[in-house]
Amino acid sequence: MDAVNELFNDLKSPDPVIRFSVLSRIEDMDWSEEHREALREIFAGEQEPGIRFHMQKVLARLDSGDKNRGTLEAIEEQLKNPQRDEISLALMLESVKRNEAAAVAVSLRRAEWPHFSQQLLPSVLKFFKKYGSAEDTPAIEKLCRHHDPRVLSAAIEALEKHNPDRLKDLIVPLLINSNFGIRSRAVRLLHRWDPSEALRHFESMLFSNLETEKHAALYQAFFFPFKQIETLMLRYISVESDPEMIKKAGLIFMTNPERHMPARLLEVRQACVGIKQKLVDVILKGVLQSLYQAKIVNAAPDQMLQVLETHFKEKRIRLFIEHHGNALKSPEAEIRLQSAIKLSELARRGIDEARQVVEAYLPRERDLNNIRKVRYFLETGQLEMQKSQAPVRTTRPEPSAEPTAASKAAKPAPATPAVSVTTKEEKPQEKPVEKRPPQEYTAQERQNLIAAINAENCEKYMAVIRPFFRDLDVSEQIAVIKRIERFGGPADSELLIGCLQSDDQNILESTIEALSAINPEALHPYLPQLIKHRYDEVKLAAIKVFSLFDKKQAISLVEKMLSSIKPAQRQTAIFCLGSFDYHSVSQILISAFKSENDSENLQQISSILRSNADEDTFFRVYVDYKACKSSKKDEYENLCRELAIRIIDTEPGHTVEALFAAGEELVAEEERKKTERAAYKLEKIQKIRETADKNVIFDASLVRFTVIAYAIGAVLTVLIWFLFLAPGPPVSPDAAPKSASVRKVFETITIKGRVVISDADKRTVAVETEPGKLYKLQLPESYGTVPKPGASFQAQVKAEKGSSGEIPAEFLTAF
Amino acid sequence: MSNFTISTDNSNDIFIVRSSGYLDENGGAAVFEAVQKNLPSECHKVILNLKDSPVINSQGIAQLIELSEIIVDDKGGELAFVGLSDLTYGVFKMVGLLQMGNPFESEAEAIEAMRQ
Repeated sequence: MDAVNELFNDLKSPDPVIRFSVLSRIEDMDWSEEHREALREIFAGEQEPGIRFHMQKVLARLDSGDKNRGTLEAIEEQLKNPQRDEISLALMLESVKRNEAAAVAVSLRRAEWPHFSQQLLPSVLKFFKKYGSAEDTPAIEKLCRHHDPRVLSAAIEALEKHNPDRLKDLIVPLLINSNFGIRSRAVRLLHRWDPSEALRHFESMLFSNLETEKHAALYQAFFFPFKQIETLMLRYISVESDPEMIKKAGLIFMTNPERHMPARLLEVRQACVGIKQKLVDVILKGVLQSLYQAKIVNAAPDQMLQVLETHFKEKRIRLFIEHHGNALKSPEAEIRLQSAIKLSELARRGIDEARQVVEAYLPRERDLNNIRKVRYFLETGQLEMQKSQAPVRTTRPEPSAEPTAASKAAKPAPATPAVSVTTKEEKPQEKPVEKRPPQEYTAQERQNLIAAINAENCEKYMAVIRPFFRDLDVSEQIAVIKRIERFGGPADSELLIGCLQSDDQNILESTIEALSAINPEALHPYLPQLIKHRYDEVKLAAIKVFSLFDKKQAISLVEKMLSSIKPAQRQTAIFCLGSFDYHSVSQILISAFKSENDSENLQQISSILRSNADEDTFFRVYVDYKACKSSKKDEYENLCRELAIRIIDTEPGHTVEALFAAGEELVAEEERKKTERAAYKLEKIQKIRETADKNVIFDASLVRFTVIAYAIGAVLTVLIWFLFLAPGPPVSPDAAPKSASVRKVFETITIKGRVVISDADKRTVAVETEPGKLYKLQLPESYGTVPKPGASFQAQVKAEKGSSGEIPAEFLTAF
Repeated sequence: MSNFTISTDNSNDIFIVRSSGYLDENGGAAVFEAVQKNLPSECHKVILNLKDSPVINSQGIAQLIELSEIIVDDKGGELAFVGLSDLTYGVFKMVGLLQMGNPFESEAEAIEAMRQ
């Protein structure tokens, strides 16, 4: 669709705000005869007086060929005429000659312009913005409280030009205005007087559940100094799923290339899949290109990307080693063993740092069983020593204490596959093995077979292994799954999905990791169950994958785990947060540092914060440090110092002392602003808006608007308003409940969609899962805050099978 | 590091500003100052040639908006932008700068349009 048709489509939107916003954009278009006709048709169908007026003005200008030069004489004639032609007058005011402007202004004042119609006022205000003077300020100021957003917005612009300080007193009414465009403009104005509070308002708009509000925030984002909003913008693209919004935000990043940004964008890119990953990749490359074009860096984009990718991998490995290195100090032998095995696995892939950590741990380990198992794994890559050297079918390996569902469901293996396979140690040495059915292999041979899988032969080897996979013992199955993770492809998805039925924690965890590497989409339908799994590690592995599809929900799940009373569970959650892109979870980590008391967990949080040290993190931690009254103050001070040291490492212009001094200044400034900002503080404004919104819900005009919109075939969202808000039709006497002639069949299903209506008092929501399908349900208290319209929603519900349209459902579980 | 430079030219009744390098806050201020200082009082037509400034950041844009308002609104002049990169064109359109001045591929085209 071309740009002009896109604009015309917006002009047909049921939302008058969208329609009006298009009008200013179409004024600058190059008009073909076809476009003029299209506009004429849209104009004929337009009902809203303000929009009609503006359209008529555009059409009149086109028809007159822009010859409507506003002379003083012509304008005065119009002003004297009580039946004046407002369209002509508006056009004249837009084309007044400079040398006549002062006289026109006098005439307008004489004609008492503030009493003009609300259609004409925006044009007059535009004139006064250009040619007005201080004496017009009181009249303009009064119009800054006008109910029509078009008049209001023109008045704000005029007052901003002539006496911006007067807007300070108007900030509260502007911030609570129902029009998002006005609100976002107010936030930008507030930034003149109180930048930090303005940014809090901006943040709340940017992360709103309402698309229009987010659009308004993104537009205003261009006018804020990027340094002040970059963390918010990073978090925004990390959690946003609408491609158009991501593209818009991307433009802001590319326009403001900063040296440190590509590394952060790379983290975001790595934390998503599908179209979003492609979009973030485009943004990342765009920023690299801008950096190069702006000569901020000398390295070509491709070259820089390569370096960044290497650094990213190294950082992830470092975090992994730190986390599992910490777990080696756990008092529980099983936890130490699991982490040692994970580090050994890394060591076997050639990461020396991991090997050093394991080697340092082994002499300290008191559990001989652990030592034996870890040493064996380091040497063989296998989890347990095989007691039997016999073939699978004759003498099975000892069953694990908790047999897996996969092994329970083992089916008889076909007898045939016999290909020439080779054994492979850490450094593969291709060596043919005798041709015979794999079931007859000894444990050692099976181990060699699995260890020999690599990128080149994976498909061939898996064809051999697949038929007798279920006959392998747990450790062998895990070893196969790990090979699939590294070398497999979508063809292995089916085998892995079968493994998701397992009860074994390690199999499940490996399977989730492998599926997320080779085919995350295939894992998606199983995530709801896995996220609720009783094993934390399984739960977290599932959440990590879930975050690829729905970051917001995934983060809130981890946040829930962070509030656990068990330090070990919190530790797993912290590790999980470390695997997300930092800026989407930085505030959660900083808050976790505040509430955490376990020293190991604190150390782990510090480690993540340190490895992502930047000024934004430093200042946020500094504010908490200054507010801390407990014994944790020393830990805070250490963390601040460590962060400052990291920052000056990467940005040599700073000093630790200067950063601490800047922190002090920030704290003092916040203290000073406390009283002043009481009136426009975000929380207060939100409260006022909430009250106002409650009144709006039952506003009869909304129902009327809804009905009109529905009549013209509007979106489902509007239909919902109608269904929920319009009074029910009178019940006819014969409309008494009839006994159901058809038996209803209910099923438990998982629904995923967007909340289109919510009633916090009744705790009801309506969730649109696909066009024409709407689930209505009541949420229990245990669910927490009722999600607002626009929020993503995913839950297990009970509903009538095969229903469509409006479906009553019973809420079971959310995830 | 980026080196921002600026040059101005007076072609009869048209004032031309050419920038080169990353147009950030400082660059924007330099453009602003160049116009304020050197724009002849009788001249109301300004061309901003941004061909060699393919990247203009938010604060640079803010300076250009302010400058445009002075040229177009306060002085009642005309403004043209030359050599906008795809990125800059998209951003100018979004923030409304293209409502203040028209974009042109070359200075010659802009001059011709301004003299019509």
